[in-house]
Amino acid sequence: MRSGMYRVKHRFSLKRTERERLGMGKYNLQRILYVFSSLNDLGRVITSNGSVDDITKSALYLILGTISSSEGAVFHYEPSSCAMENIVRKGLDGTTPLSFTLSDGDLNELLLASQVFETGSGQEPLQGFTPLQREVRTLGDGMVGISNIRPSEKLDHAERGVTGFTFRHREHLKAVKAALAAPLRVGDKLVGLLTVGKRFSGGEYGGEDREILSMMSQQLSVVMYNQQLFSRLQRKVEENRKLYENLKQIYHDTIQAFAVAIDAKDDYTQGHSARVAQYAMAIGQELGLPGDELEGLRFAGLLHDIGKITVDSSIIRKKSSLNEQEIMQIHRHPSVGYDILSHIKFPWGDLSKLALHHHEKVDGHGYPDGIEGKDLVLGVRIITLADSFDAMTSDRPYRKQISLGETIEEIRRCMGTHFDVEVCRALFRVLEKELTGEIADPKVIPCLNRLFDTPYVLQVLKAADGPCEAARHPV
Amino acid sequence: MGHFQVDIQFADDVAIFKTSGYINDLGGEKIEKQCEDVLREGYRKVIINLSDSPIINSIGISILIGIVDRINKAEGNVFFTNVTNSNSRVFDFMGLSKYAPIFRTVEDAVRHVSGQA
Repeated sequence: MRSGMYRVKHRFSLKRTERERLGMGKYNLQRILYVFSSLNDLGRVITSNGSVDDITKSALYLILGTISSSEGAVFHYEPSSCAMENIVRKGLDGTTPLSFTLSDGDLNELLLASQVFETGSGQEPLQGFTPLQREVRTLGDGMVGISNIRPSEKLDHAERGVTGFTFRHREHLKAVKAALAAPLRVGDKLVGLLTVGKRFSGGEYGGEDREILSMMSQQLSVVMYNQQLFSRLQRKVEENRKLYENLKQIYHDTIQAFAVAIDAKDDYTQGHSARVAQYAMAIGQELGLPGDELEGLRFAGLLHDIGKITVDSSIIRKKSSLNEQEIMQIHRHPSVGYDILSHIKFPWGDLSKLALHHHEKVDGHGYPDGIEGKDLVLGVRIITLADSFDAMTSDRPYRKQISLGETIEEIRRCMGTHFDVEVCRALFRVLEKELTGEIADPKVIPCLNRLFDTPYVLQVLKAADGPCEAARHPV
Repeated sequence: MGHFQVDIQFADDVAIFKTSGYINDLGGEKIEKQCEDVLREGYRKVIINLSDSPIINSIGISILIGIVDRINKAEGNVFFTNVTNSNSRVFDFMGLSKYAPIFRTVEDAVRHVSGQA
């Protein structure tokens, strides 16, 4: 029994001796495991879904908690302004913003220096020392890099260290209490700088600490580099978005100008296209159409009468009845509109068809093609009603406008023959909601340039809500 | 255990923190903030009971180093209690236990602090 205990103790003793010989004492082994665990955590942090600020902050905490320091800072390098800007710090006065500009010499040093360097040994560079002039250049992707350096030159420079940088920026490094610094680089691109304060546990940092700092700072570099790429991409996306918005605005303004030009042929029809656009959108919205279809309706409303630019002004302004030739010219405007618009590729579908068919009736007695309702797309049926509604509620050369109540009654009379039943009912609902204040942003009522008796109109709308003969046989 | 919490009790001139949950992410910064609060209130002796925080990674160590450093600079003292064996070894080689002694229980730490007074 006793000899057994001895053997066990002896075996353990040998093992411990072996570990100690290899420099792997109890704490060293524990520390190695701790560092591995930290590296694993760092991998988890940098691949997490958090914001870059949070990731960078967590990474800094992880690094400080691994090499035992209470102070540290991460700087982001902005190539366009050559500025090193402090983005995260720990254990330092957080109120003073800290940033400084790098010279070409600083850049050279940081790009060529070893991965981790001491900051306390800064000394004035020798007179006339111009390290690797003109090697710093802006790369195609906006990053700063170095080129045309022979490996031997790189080595020379790395050995020369970063004395110039640490001397020139000694006040900045002092402000973040830096004892060690690690340039954050990806390939030959500088993305930032990591600094750590003195060792909390006391004493100097050892080679092992520098190795850990080197490994971890390289991982942090990748995060910062990706962030820079992402920010650049975001800026591009934002620029493109603004460009697109500007182009869209120009496009909208151009179409609006066309609509004004169309309506300018006749004083009576001024604003007609804009009102048709408004009414069509209101009906479409009531029918639950999606945003892009509503946008399409708006532009169809603005352009539906574009064919009228070829109709003689005297015909449009004529107060008496039109002769057969004049009627033929008027009846041609949808086809002319189609010819004009069919050459344009609109983002909201084929608006030319909406211009072509806006005088069709659901019973097939309209023009130019006499198409029945079942073959007319919803957009056409909406534009047709919006167009007629505005015609009825506006003064025309050949007649005065009719009242809103009469207009509703007229539309109801033509439901199922001239106009689509569901579209008419949608217009009635819009009118009712706008008159009762149910719709906060009314589109139709404000366009009607006449006062009317709201209770009476509501009464007419209520009466119009009932079934009509044609409505029992919807097309 | 995931959600990190800090409860504070006061015994005379000692603030006793009891953490619950892992100290392994920036959520642990709560303790730093609360330490600042008690320092502002004039407390200079802080006991941190880690009985319900068995997992402390390097982010947590960093936070604890920050607290010890801050309180030491304010001429105060920090004492850890109920530290697991594994964490105790980490505290040793990270230098934490050098500046903030570890006690087995809160009562032991309080006795020590009272003796100091």
